Amino acid sequence: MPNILLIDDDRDLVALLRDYLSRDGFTVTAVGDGAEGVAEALSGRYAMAVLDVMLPHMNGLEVLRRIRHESTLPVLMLTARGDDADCVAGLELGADDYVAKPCTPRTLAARLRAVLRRTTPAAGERGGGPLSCGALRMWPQERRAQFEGRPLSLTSTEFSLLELLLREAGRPVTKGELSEHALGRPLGKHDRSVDVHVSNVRRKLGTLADGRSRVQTVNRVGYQLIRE
Amino acid sequence: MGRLFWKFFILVWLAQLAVMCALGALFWLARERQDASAVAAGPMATSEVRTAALLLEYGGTEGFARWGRGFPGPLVLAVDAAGRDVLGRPVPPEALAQLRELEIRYPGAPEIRKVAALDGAHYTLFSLGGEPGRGGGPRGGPSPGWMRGLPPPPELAATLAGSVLTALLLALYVAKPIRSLRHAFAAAAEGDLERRVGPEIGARRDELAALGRDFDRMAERLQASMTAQRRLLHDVSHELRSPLARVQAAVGLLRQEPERLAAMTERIEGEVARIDELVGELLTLSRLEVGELGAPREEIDMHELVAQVIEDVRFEAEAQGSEILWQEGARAVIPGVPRLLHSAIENILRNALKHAGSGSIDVESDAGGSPPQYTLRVLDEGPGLDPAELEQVFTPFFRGQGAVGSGHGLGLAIARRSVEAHGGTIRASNRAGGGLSVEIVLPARSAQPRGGGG
Repeated sequence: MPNILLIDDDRDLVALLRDYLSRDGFTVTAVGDGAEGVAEALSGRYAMAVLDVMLPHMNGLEVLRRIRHESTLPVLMLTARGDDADCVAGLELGADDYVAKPCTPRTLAARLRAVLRRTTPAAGERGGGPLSCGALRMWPQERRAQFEGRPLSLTSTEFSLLELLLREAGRPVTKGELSEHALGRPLGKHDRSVDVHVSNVRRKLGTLADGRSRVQTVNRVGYQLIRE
Repeated sequence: MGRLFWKFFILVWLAQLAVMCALGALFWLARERQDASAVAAGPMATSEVRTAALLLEYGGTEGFARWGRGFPGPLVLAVDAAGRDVLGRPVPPEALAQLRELEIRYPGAPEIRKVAALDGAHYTLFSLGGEPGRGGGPRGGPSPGWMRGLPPPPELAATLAGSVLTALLLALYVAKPIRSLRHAFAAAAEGDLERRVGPEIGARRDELAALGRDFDRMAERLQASMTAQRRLLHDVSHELRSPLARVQAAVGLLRQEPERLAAMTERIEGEVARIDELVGELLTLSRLEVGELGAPREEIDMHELVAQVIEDVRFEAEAQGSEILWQEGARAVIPGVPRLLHSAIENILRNALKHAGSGSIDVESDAGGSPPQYTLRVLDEGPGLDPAELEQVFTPFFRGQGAVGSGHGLGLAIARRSVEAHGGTIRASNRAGGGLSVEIVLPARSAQPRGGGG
């Protein structure tokens, strides 16, 4: 049973969600405080964290920054509906996905499963061998990547995005495909999640000798990894 | 440059031109008058006078008169001792006076000749005309008469340029601050309240500068109130979302486990009640915000009001093992809206109760001073507040470090708005021995020392 860490200060809500998620096949631990949340998240006991943006004392974004500083633990943000700034800020800081609050527990469970499915791919899914293109090498089975011989630290969503781009290197991949593959959901209207994740990946890969990004935007289609 | 600038510039410039023309005309006229009534000097006048003298001496009055009509030269007058012209022509008195003076001061001046006519009478001859050394005198000068009195072209050009420049500067001086004000207003209308005109106005001190500074003050206040509104709206939406999220979670759980119907229904009812309560408090707050002091003011006996509030809260206090002790000093009457003051004091008291646990709550009230003021303090024995939070405790939706219970964080915000609407102040401080003290000071109509018992 996947172990989920729930960081939210609304005790009543957390109690309700715990009941729901437990019956839905998750093990849930809840903490109501940011600092405690960071410590728990870094303990290595959890498969995933659900983090509320609005936390007292330590803001949820700050909690995320601290978690990302040391770990690529998948993080799902709970943001206020309509507050796009928070969503984008969360994704830029390396959140794997977000759910607008209030949401039905069913939606939350579905998102959790989508992220977890990517993190632990079923054996035999796609070819298992290492993939490579130029200085980039990836081992999808082990969720491990290398760039120019050094290990590349990617969040689970970033890994899935880059994996798909690498498999299709030299060909454009649509945003819809990227969303389905990396976020486990169809691309929504005005949804900038894929773009934010791609921009995080770009930052981690650096630029080509001529200053161009290794991941190119293909207008009105999607993105493409440059074959070197 | 805007229309105003050009209007101003043209107006100022035209005014300057008019003044220049008027002045020029005045000078010219004065000169003309002087020309016509002064004793002419210079070689031309000398020669004219000599010719005339010879004619009068040898040709007699007849010859002199005929010469005078012969060509339109300057007027050469021949006056006798009594100052009458030999031909009876008018003699300007100024010229005559000048003549007498010249005769005394410069005897034998070449422009003045004395002759004995054929009839034996003595005449003094002189020519009427321009000043000495001024462009050849009245006849055949280099410029036509109407231009005399105007400065020559380079000086004229300089004067014109000067007037254009001053008109320009003056127009700029007025138009520039108005233009920057206009831009600032346009920006404000577009929703950009960041813009200030102060820096562009600088140290200027006049009505335009005052207008600019007033604009800045207005923009600042608007911005502050808009920021506050936006924050409030943000907080409200978050506050409403929390119970909604719980309702949604409960509904989800109910779908998952229909057998939990009773518990979940109760839960949902609780959350709905909470939302209702929150909306009610928000309405109170927003009514205070727009200043619901259109409501009629009454004379409020604070003794009665406080007693009533304490009575309302006493039951809950006893339920949690706490008690409310009231120490009353002088009493006061306050002009105000009873409902608002009631909710202010009740909110302060309930807040104290929330943190007091089973400790007692002290209420102290007193009145006095000039002008009279009513002071009410509510002291609890709870944990108090972090010093940094003492001011924030009155902002909507604030919850302290040790937040307990189910409040929305609106109670004290409502209390502050209501006290301020009555012209009073509210302040929170930590007590020396632990616990929080909330003090309100209200301007009172009258204060009476506590009489007898009470």
